Amino acid sequence: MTHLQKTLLKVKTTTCAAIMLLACAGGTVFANDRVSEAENLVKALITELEQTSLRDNMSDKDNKQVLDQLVESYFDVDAITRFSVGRYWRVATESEQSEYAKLFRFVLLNQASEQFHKLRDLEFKPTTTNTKGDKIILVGGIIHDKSGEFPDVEIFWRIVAQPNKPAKIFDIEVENISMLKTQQDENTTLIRRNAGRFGALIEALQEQLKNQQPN
Amino acid sequence: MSVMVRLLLSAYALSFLAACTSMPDDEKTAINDPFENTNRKIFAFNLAVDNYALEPAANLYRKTAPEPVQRGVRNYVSWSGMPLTAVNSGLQGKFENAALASLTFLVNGLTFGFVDLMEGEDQPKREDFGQTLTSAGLNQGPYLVVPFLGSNTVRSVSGRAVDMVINPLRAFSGKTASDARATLPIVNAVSLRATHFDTINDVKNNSLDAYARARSAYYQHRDKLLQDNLPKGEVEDDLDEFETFFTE
Repeated sequence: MTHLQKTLLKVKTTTCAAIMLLACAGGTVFANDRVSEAENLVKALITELEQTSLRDNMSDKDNKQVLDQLVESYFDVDAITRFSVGRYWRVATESEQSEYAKLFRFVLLNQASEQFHKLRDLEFKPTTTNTKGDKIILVGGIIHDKSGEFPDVEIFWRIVAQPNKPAKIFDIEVENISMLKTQQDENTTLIRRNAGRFGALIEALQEQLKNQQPN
Repeated sequence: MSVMVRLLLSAYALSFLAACTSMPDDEKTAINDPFENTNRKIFAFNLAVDNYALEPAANLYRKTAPEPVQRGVRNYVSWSGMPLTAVNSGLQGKFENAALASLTFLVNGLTFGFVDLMEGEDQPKREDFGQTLTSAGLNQGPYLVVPFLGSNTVRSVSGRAVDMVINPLRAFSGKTASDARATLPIVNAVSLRATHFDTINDVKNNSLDAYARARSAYYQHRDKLLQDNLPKGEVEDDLDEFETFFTE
C-alpha cells in the first residue's frame, strides 16, 4: 500500500468515525428531547387535572367535557382504540370499527367521570423515566393520597413518541398492571367466546352504556 | 400430606395433558386457560362469597377501623409473611433478601408486626414457594381459579400448599399462636379487600367480562413478580407487544 493510499484510508476511516459519532450524538439529543417531551406531557396533564378537579362548581356534564378535551389532547386515542381489540381490529368492518371507537370512548369517559372527584386528594411524584426501543417511553412515579386513606401506588405512563409526531400517552400501568393490556384481554376474550364475532363486543358495550347512569 | 402430594401430581399431569391437547387456532390465547369453563364457575362462586361476606366485612372494616389501625393490620400481615420470604429467598440463593427478611421479622417482632420499625429502610422483596419453583425452571402450567383463593396457576397453587407446610411460624406452639395462624388468612383477606375496595368493585361492576379482567390482571402482576426468578434467557419483556404494535 502506497503512502497516498494509506493517507486516503486514514482520511476515510476518520470521516466514517466522525459521521458515526455525529449520528450517535444526534440520536442521543433526539432521544433526550423525546424523554423531556414525554415527562413534560405527563406534568402538563397532571397540572390540568389538578386545576380542574379543584373546581367545586362543575357538573357531571362539565366533567365529561373537560375529560373529553384532555383525552383528545394528551392520549393517542386512535392507537389505544386499535390496540384494545388486538387482532380483531382487522376482522371488523369499517362501520364496526367506527361504531366501536365511538362506544369505547363513551364508556371510558363515563367511568373516568365517576372517579373524577377522587383526584382531589391525589398527587403525583415522578421517579424514573426509561426508554423502551425507539418509540416507547415509560414515565414512572408514585401516586400519593394526601388524605392518607390509600397507601402509595406505583404508576407508569407509557408514552409513544413516533418520529415527526407529538408524544402522546398510550397506556397507564398501575402496580405492574397495564390498563390497556387488561382491556385488550377482556375485549378479545369476549369476541373469542362469541365465535370471533366483533359485533358481540359492540352489543356488550351498548348494553354497558345503557346500564351506566343516565346523563 | 401424601394426599396433598398426590393431588398436586395429578394437577401437574392434567396440566401437561391439557398442554398436549390440540385447540383450534381461534380458541388459543396468550393466556394458558384450558379449564376456562370450570374456572368461570368457580369464579362465579368466589364472586358470590365476595358479595355476601367479604365485601360487606371489608366495607364495615374500612368505615369503622381508624386508618392507623388499618395500617397496623397491613403491617402485621406483611410481617407474618417474613419467615416464609426468608426461607424461600434462601432456597433461591438470594441470601441478602433472606437476611433482610429475617432482620425485619426480628425487629418488627418487638411490636408483633403491628408497627413497621424498618419503615424508610430497604424492604425485603416477598418470595413464595411458587417463585422458588419458577427459579428451578418449573413450567407454570394452566390457569386455575381456586375456591376462596381466586386466581392461580398450577405452579403457584402448588407453591401455596408447600408454603403452608414449610412456614417457620408453625414452630410456635400454644393456643395463641395457633389461633393467630388460623385467623391470619381471614384478616389478610379482609384487609386486602378493604385496601383495594374501589378497584375490585370496579372490576366487578364495570367490566364487560370480570373473569377475563381478573385473569389478565393476575398474569400481569405475577409476571412482574417472577421476572427475577426466571432462568436467564427466559425473561420476557412485556413491552414487546407494545413496541410490535407501533412497528407493524
